[in-house]
Amino acid sequence: MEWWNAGPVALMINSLVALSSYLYGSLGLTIIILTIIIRFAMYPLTRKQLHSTRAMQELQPKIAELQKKYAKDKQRLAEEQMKLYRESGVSPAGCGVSMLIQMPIWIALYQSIIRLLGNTPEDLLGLSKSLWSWPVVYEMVPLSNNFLWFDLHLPDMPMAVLVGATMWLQQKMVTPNTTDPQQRSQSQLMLWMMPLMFGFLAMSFPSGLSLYWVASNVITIIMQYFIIGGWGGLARSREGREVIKSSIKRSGGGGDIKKRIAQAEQSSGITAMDADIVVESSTHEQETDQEYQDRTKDISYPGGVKTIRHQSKRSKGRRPKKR
Amino acid sequence: MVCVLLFSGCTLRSKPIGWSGIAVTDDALFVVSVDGTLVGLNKSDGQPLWPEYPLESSEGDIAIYGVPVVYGDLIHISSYDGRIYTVSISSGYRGFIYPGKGSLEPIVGGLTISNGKVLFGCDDGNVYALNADDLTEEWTFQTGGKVWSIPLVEGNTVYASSLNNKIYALDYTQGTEKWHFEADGAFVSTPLMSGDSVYAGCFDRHVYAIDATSGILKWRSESEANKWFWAQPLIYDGVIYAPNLDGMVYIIDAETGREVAQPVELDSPIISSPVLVNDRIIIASQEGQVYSLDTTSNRTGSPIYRVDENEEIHAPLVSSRGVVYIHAQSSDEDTLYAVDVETRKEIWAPVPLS
Repeated sequence: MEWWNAGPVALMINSLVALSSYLYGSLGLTIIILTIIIRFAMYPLTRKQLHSTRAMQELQPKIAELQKKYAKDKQRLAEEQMKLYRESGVSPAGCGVSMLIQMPIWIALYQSIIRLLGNTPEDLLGLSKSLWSWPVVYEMVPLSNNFLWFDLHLPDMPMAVLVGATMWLQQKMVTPNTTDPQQRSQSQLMLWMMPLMFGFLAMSFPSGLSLYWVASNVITIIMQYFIIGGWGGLARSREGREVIKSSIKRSGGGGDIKKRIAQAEQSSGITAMDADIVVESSTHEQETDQEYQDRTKDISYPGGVKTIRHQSKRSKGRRPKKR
Repeated sequence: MVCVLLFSGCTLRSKPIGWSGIAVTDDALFVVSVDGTLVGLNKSDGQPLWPEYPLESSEGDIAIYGVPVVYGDLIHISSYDGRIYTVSISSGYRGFIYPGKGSLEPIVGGLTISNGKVLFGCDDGNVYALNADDLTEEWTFQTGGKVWSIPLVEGNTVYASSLNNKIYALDYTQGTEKWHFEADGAFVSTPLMSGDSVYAGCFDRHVYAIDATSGILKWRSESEANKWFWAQPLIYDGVIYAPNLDGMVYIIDAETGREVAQPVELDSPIISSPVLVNDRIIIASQEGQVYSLDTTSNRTGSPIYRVDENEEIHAPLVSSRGVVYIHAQSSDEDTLYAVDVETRKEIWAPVPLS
């Protein structure tokens, strides 16, 4: 691995140190700027990767249909799948190839940041082996480890939270649009598992690494916005909620509300539950406002969930007359 | 890709291991092993004085980079866990610990004891002065950068070098600043005093000579080394011998800063500070070769000794009565060697320390 340390990693280390000489010796600022530079240098690859991923996601329902249709004929299934990819202009390997090209660059940057964050005499001696004979490089090390409110060598809780939050936002934007329950539960798992895991791990990483992750995630969010053409999954939730709410309004809370909501879910691509809307069962449509409040006061939904009381216009707030 | 990134960085950061120097008295040696155990040996035969004494800590990693210092019956040891430990020579039992509760930030450079004061630098940027009898704090001075060197005391002045590119001269009694000198790179080694000049090697790859009274630059070495000056230089007969991480020993006139001979090239970087034995300078390379530099010819021949091939030499060398003592280590083991400089033979079998 000597070639790796002497080549890509050394290039990143020396670039970081040289860049820091223009940034007041601040390692934190340097990490952010170099992450931005490399991210934008790899924009063409990132764009290609995102397009491929999105196209693959959009083909999933058709692939699922083919799998059902040719479940017993693997060869025919493979042929039909390839035909579908050809006709759609999608390459299954497309996003993988882009990622493979980017990976060494990211690994080199990541490892170089870790080395520069080293705090012990052993770390500093190890770092000296990677420094090139540039005066600016020799004179800048060791770099200042203070940035904003935190010490880059030490873990920092707010930064760990930011790592998780930005990762969630990034994932949410590209979470596929599906009403299939199995696919939806898988997407939800990915949406929450990675950010939580990273946020948890970031509590024990040096905050310099957390800074790198946050910077990288923010840039990815910005890129995704322009590549996808919007906020993607973030906007779908909001738009879907509006579609469902307006459907409920048009139905006036009447008997066709469930049919309306089903149509709204179909067109928006999200369920009422995803839009944080719960529609109460129609069996209580005769109850008064007070009876409704008494019945639902102990029912708790996740924070932010709106409950829509399903009542027919005729029965709203009035008891049926006793005969 | 995210998981690949995570795992690719897992092992890149070092746990502090340390490379303790060796304290030498008339008949004993004291050193701390890489597993944090204080070892006392009889100088003549390498036998232990008492059972090994582990320096246990709840405050962090015990890693010793400095040299234990003997003061009266106590050995004083500064540790990476931010504490000063004292151990009785006669009994091997622990004495005072500073601070009494908690710890400071890591202490890397080691401490010195002079005229009843214990002085050391710390990662928090302070130079501390404690009363040597009870380890109560007398003064601190904030340098603004980590202090990884051992403070040097000459008369009423304390000289301390800092990773923020400066060398400070402080009043020994009050801890107030007399002057500071700033270079283009960090200073990690202890300054060297000779006559009215202070000498120090720098990360900007030059050696500096500074007037000890005023802090004014006398000279900066004409030639530029290839890497950092890490080990403390040595001065003999008006010539400075400055080891460098590029594996060379730069030989510089102490008055003018000019090279008086071609640099002597060893086999690997030089981290360990050299030592003078008679008119020879004994230098160890990182890869474990020990050389004898003839100050007349300013040449070395082949190495006079080689430690175990799995070990490296980072700790400063120390000598006594023609014998050089070497603390060599790998990541989890270390050994103490005693080599007669003239005969080039071990005076006793290498002693494993951990």
